[in-house]
Amino acid sequence: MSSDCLRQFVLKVHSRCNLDCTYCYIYRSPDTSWRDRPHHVGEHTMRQTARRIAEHVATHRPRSVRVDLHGGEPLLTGPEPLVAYADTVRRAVPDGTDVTVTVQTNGTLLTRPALDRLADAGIRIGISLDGGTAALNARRVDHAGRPSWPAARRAARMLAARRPDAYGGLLCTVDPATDPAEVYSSLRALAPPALDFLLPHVHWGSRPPGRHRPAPTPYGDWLAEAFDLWWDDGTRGLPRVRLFTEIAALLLGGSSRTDAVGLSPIAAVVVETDGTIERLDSLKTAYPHAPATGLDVHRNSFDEALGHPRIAALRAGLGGLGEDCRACPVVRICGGGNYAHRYSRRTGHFRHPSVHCADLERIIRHAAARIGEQLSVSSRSLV
Amino acid sequence: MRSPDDAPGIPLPVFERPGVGGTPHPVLAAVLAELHARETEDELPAAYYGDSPDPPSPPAGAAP
Ligand code: SF4
Repeated sequence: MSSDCLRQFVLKVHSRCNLDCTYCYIYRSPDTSWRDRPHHVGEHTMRQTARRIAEHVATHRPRSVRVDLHGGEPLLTGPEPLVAYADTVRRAVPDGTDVTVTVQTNGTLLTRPALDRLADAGIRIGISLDGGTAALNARRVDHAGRPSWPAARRAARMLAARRPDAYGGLLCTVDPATDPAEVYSSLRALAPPALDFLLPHVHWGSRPPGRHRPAPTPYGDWLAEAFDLWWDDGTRGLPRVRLFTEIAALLLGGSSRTDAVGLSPIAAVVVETDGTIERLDSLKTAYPHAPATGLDVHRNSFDEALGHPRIAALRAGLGGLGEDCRACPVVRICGGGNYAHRYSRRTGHFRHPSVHCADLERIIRHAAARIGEQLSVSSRSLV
Repeated sequence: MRSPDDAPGIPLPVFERPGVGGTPHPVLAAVLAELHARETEDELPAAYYGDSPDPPSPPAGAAP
């Protein structure tokens, strides 16, 4: 087994976006550091990032690492810089470690030649969509307020029909005002191999943080309904739904592979277009420069990043949680939820339950109940 | 909306976990197969960034 290390490198290719989604956690956050970054990554930073990834891999020998090409909107560069970045990393990484490359896009710039170029280069494509209809994507608009849906729909359909081998899946941010059945069925109609439902990146703000405050569970109710649609869906081509798969895996005694739930240490780090090494973008919602580490690939290694206290804080598991979470009966499954969702402006730190605490417990207990219809309960749980 | 399975404060059940193929439920079977594949990979637990797509994991999807 390899030693504990970083395994996911979120590489920023372009620092701007052609859309202006109303709930964007990058451009509508208190962290405006993107304004000072180069618009796109240069060749020198690409080479240096690849060298640093290779150095980290040579030290720790993981079986595989993930490279996620991100933005802003990464396709604002066109496909060639994406392919060049992927190739530079793949060439640098020593034999014995697989490099999986994905790009996460809003889909609006995914033309047929761009799709073929990325797919031929072995880059898988994920699209962010809030459902499979125009109305469900009403919050995803460009800077002039025009809907992104027509272009995004074209991209998803083209991906499914033309290059299913390169279709990574769809990411959907939950809006509890929508009908989960409509969202689930309309997303399924786009034939994704994988889906994920993300809770919005928000935190306690200046409200008092604590377990189960506020008590209503609109997101948990929405997710419970979506879970049932997936769990009871007997049709062919059923997508893997990441959040639900991970909750089920945890309930069956496994460990999580997503930062949304569970106690696994976060394996991901971000490299900005200027080579700055940062923590996850979701932290931008907390306060200005919350993702910053002060490190960059030109001067620092990823081993230094791994040992940095602000990155170690994301990897501390149970010990990094506040008292409420540590005493919680579902903590091994929930893990306090996404780190960014625990922040309180009132206290200035993250050692609180998630702002989605009640919703998380709701979906976890619901999933446990549904699994319990299929499996018997061990006598270990009765003592 | 609350449901009877939402019972704050009560410990979660521990399930008897069947082997791969030990359930007729297609989604549960896919989860069990994925767990088995992960455990035989022998990698340390690691959480990946949720705002990126997952690479395909063996076995991909839960197609019945
Ligand atoms: S572990 Fe999850 S459900 Fe439990 S208190 Fe923390 S955030 Fe809430």
